[in-house]
Amino acid sequence: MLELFAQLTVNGLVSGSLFALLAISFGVILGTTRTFHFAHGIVYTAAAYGAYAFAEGLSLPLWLGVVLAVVIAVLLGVGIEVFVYQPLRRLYASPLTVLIASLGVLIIVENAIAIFFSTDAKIISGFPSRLIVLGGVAFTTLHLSTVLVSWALFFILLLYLYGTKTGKAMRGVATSPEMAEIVGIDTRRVFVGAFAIGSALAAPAAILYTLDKGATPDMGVTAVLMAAIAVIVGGVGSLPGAALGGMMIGLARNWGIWLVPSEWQSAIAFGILLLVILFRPTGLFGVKLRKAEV
Amino acid sequence: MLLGVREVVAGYGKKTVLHRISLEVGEEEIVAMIGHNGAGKTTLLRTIFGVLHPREGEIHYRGARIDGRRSALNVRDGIAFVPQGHGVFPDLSVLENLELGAHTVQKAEVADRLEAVYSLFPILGERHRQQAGTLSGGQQQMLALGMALVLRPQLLLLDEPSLGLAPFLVQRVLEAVVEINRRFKTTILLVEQNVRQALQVARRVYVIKVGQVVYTGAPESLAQMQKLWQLF
Amino acid sequence: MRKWIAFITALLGLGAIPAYGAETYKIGAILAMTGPGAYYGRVMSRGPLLAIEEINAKGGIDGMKLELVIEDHKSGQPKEGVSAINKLVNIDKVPFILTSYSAPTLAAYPIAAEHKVLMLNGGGWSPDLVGKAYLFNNRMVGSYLGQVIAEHVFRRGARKLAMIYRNDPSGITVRDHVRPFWEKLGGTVVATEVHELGATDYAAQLAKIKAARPDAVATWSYGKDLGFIVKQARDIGITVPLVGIDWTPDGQAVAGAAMEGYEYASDYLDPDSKEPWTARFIQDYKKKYGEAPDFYAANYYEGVYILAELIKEVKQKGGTPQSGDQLRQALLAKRKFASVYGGTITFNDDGTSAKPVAIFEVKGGKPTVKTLVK
Repeated sequence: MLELFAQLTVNGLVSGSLFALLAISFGVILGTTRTFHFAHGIVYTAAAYGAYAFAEGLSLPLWLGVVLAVVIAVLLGVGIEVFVYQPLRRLYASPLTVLIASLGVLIIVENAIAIFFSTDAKIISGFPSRLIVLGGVAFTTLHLSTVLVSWALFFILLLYLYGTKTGKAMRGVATSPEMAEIVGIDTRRVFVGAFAIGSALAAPAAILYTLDKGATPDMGVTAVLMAAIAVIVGGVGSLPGAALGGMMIGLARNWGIWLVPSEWQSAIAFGILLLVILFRPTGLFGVKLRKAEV
Repeated sequence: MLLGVREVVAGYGKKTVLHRISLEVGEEEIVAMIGHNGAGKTTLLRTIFGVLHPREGEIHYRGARIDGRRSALNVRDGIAFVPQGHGVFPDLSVLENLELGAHTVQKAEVADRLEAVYSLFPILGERHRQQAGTLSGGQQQMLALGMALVLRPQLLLLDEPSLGLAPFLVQRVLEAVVEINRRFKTTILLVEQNVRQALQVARRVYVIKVGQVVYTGAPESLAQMQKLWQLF
Repeated sequence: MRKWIAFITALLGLGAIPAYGAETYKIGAILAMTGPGAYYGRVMSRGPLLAIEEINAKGGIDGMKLELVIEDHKSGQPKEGVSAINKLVNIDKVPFILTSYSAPTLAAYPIAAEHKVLMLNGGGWSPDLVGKAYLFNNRMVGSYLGQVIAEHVFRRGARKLAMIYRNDPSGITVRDHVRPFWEKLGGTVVATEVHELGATDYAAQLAKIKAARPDAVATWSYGKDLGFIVKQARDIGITVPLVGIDWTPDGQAVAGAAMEGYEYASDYLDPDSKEPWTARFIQDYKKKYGEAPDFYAANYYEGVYILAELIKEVKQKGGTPQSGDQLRQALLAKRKFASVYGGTITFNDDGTSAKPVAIFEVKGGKPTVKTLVK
């Protein structure tokens, strides 16, 4: 029993790290621009398929495929901001309208990918993964890399937001867009920057997942849902909260299957969300979103 | 003349608040706008700053037209705005607030300017790590002023700087306003509800009523002041 | 005048002679042309196309050429199977259909029975495909294969078995047949996990299986799913033998080195066979498609030749080969046909057939024959 618990914990830490990365990629965008960017899921998927197309389809080296996948993700994410959300904001569209538009983009691009690549799972080879066994617990070098890469990116993001001028400006916009305007920050450019960073972070998450478990056209929907839940659980506006939310979901999903049949894994995350919303609606580290003033 | 507002019409949605209003502010002047709530004082400040754009009329600054521009450009050209009710980033520290205030300032100059703000408002220096939202009302107002000051603005727009402050703090703030004008040669246009306080600092006064100027002048005599009360 | 009458009569006479050789015989096929199982559709269509090409090159059957009409059930959707058979029966009017996958076949069957269309399944392995008058199988049933491989690991000493199966009739019925079979042998089933078709994340199921400490893990899954299961099982540290009832190059590509040592029971197509027909089929298939055929391609190739035999039988007795009913009678009368596996295939009353079956082991990324059964 203890062995199962240990294995589940390791599984949970690995998938939790990936969820944490996904959560901060989504959280940067939501926190800074107040946009519920559901289409982030398809940026994730596009990055996976981009890496697949370059690394497997064109037989380019894996690192090059990764770089190109990041480029694709950023172009797609920023493109959606510029061509979908900006026009909607100019027209004072309601948040519901924006959400529906975002969902629409997700569905259209997902179907395009399914038609072009077909729906069977695509794998990317080229990452030499070795098995590591400690005690009775097993994981691979890919799993280890997932944990390291996710947390490295998290710290790099924090360094950017707390240590650079543009990073601080982004935090300023996140906490009060009106005040940002007053001190002369170009909020439009900061919004684009947030989408670029968020999309760029989604790419490695997508590729790490694909190297382990393959890419399918619908992978983005689950990903963005888990990311959103993690951000809400951790508290909108707090990136450490989002990362922690991601870890919690990863661990809960794995510990949970001890108690519930494995088919119910996804339901566990929603269960946590429900608890948090009921008892602590602003999330664990939530910062209350302020209404527009001035 | 540093700032000229000519026949400006502006408002929110269908509602028009400013009805062909005109005023002028000269270099290094301190000018006050007084009037009832809803007269349009805040709206005018926001229109000058650029977060609101006029439907008609022109705004001139340093000889060039600036109406319709994005406010960020005005900040770059030396206009600072301190909004009503503690315009700070509440979740960030005092230092981070000041740093963001200095967002458009050249990196080499920032340290000096921060020092100047601390010398004017020492309490900000003591509490530079404190989260801005946890400061007292008066301290937040000083911070808001400090954030505008790091810009070394040519034109400072203040919206009710003494609102909600205890009397002795109001004195502090008004003294700071005068000091800013004296030390940095900053032109100041401020909005005040309290006529007495407005007259303490301002050399000229505009009385705004229903989006228009109904009186302007530098009241020296009591009689003129009484006339002022009547209009108000 | 008389010359004109003779000339016109001759012209009319010419018109009365029936046109020679324009008749084609349409065969229907319902395969997984799109979706996660697209691999199967690909190979299952190649077999018949090669067979038809060979037969038509020899002039067809008494001058009658064969034509294949392929419909897509989108990797096993019953709804699509029904649409497919409706089209084949009502528009193309085929008397014979090559079908695949248990779920769409079962959904389409009532329509076949109603219109007396003969179906031949070379792919699906659900025991539900047995005992239907108009459905015959030249593919071994999954539950039988499951028992074969289970017995194999039992004889090697395994007593605790873990199972992971696909959540549909084919997976479920294998689970339901093997479990009592294993227990009757004297073993115990220590874990039973289920997965959806097309799933790629098996961490949860495999963690539970690992914790149950089985002597062997059996997978009633196939295609790429099998590949993911095998790979992730090894990645989570499961070192005991992995066995199953299917293997495809697609799944091999996903699992890579993890697939080494995996054993499975399946219809036995010996790639190195010395049998003349088998060797020739493998060679021609390789030449035409650039890769060696698997037994699925062989089953469907064989299916066309079985049909050709049936058509000949019916014609010999003076019947109409376009009648599915008569084709069926011919099949029940003849029973034994030459099999491309070598030797013969014999059909039973209940629609099952007897064919060579073997246990394969994956070595160096390719299946090799370990032992022959029956």
